[in-house]
Amino acid sequence: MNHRERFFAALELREPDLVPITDLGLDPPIVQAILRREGAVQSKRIGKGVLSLTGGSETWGSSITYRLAMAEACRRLDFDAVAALSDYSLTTKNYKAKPVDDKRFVDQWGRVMQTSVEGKTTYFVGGTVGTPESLEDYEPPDAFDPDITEMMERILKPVRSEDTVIMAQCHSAWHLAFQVRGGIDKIVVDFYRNRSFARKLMDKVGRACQRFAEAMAEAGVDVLFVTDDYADNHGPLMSPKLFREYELPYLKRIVEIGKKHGVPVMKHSDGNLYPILDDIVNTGIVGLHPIEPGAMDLRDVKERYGDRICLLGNVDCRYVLPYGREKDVRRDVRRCVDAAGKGGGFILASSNSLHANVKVENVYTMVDEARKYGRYPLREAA
Amino acid sequence: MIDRFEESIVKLDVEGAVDVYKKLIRSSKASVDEIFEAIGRALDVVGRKYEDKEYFLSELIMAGEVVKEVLKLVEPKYKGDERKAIATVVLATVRGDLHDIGKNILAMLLESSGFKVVDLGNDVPAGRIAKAVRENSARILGLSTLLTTTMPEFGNVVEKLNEEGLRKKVKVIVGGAAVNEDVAKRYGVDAWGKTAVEGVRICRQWLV
Repeated sequence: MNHRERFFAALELREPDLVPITDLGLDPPIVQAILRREGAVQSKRIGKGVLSLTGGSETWGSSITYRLAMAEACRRLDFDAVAALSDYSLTTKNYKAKPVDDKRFVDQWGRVMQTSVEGKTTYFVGGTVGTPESLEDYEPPDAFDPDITEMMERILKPVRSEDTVIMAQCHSAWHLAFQVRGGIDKIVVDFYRNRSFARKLMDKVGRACQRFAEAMAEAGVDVLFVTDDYADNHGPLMSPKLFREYELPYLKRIVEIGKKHGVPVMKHSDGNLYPILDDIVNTGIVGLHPIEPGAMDLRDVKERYGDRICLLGNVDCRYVLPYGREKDVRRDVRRCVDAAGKGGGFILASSNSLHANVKVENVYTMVDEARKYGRYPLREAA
Repeated sequence: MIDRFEESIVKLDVEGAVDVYKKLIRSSKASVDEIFEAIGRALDVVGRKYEDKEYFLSELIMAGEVVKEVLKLVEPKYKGDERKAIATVVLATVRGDLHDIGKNILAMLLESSGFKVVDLGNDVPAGRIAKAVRENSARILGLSTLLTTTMPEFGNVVEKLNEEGLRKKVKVIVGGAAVNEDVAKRYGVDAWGKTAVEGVRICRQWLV
């Protein structure tokens, strides 16, 4: 089977020749290390793209460079699918992050972001929408801007020529809405006390997200991945009632957009999703990632939902991939294959992303073990 | 009537809680101390509901909001009674990490439970944390990180507290998605909280 056949066999709950492999994200140091190790020539330095204070055509160009480099790294790793697009990093050529101070900036979605060089991370620390007036003035990015269309085409053209599956990361509403609002605490109080404001915010962000999903589907991606996080280790961040009222309609809408374009929609969320998992699966998603280790149990989810959705994950990227020895990585890959590989419907990936602190040797070990141990027919688990 | 007050908090009913509070004070049916005790009991119920997954993070936040609205009214009386915060807690997300959702929730719950919270924010170096502990005579220090790679910073903070002769004066609790008992032992802290609710319970137990 080629990459596409393998990936789609798993997605359609059939047994492929091998357990497919992919990942939702590879941070720049990982991409760089892989390309260096593979002897791939990099004509341009891989920057952080949109997650920096530079902006303008430089950011636009470096986002494209990074995504293409990431696709190349995935190809070198023999991944079956690559997350080629993300609504976080699709910008216009004149986009420029607005500096707040020497550490923080406002991005194109209106989130206040902060970079920690030491932690090798950039993360949202605040929002820009706090009043009805600022919500009125708030302008999310437009996915159909010609610059964004051009950026998508520049990234997708070389990737399309391969047989790798093209995934695109988008959102439904919640995640970007709470970040634009400045925090979960603020939006939750809005849900209870300022319902019309909360609805307007969710709707404004949700509609922008839908346009991204439409634009990505029209650009020819193979899979849409909705990446709003709904839970922490304990459980959902909002009650099932609030989830159904405020967020679920927006997730359904993305699934509908996917169906309209014949593009399968998968869902990513960290944390313990059990109390809202039926709702999520009933939207018609075809896959779920990453079934977070420690918060949920891959084998249990396979037993309960494996006849309806494909599962993706869940090699531990908190301890095993950053700190584990070779045998720990191999053991964890086998754990995943044993738990969810039977009968197909499983795609191996990390439990979140190949972040900057993951050991590159462990990524190679993960792929090696998956290719050896993940060959169908699978051996019976001990 | 104090039962109705507690019930309003548990039901996340801001207007109800404020209304009953005003009636209680107007009719002198409850002292400020009794109000605080009732808030503590109500938050215990909310915490239990959270642990039983009847309530979720959203309801914890909303319970904090209800208490915050009530405290806006209590504040003048509270000062008049010279009622002091039960203890000062310094909170920080350690150097190298920017994730602060859990820390912020803990801050809100601690304040609702009568603690004074000095929140240093995120990406805070050990030296600044030790300084804040000393300057605020904090009895408790809460450290948070989501990333496994920044966990060693817990150890650096403990070392700094030792260097400055503060370690024996302050209890240290850590939290974060990847934190567990082993982490707490490894870095020589006093406790770890799996959830913000558990964190508050531990802080309260330390003061008994």
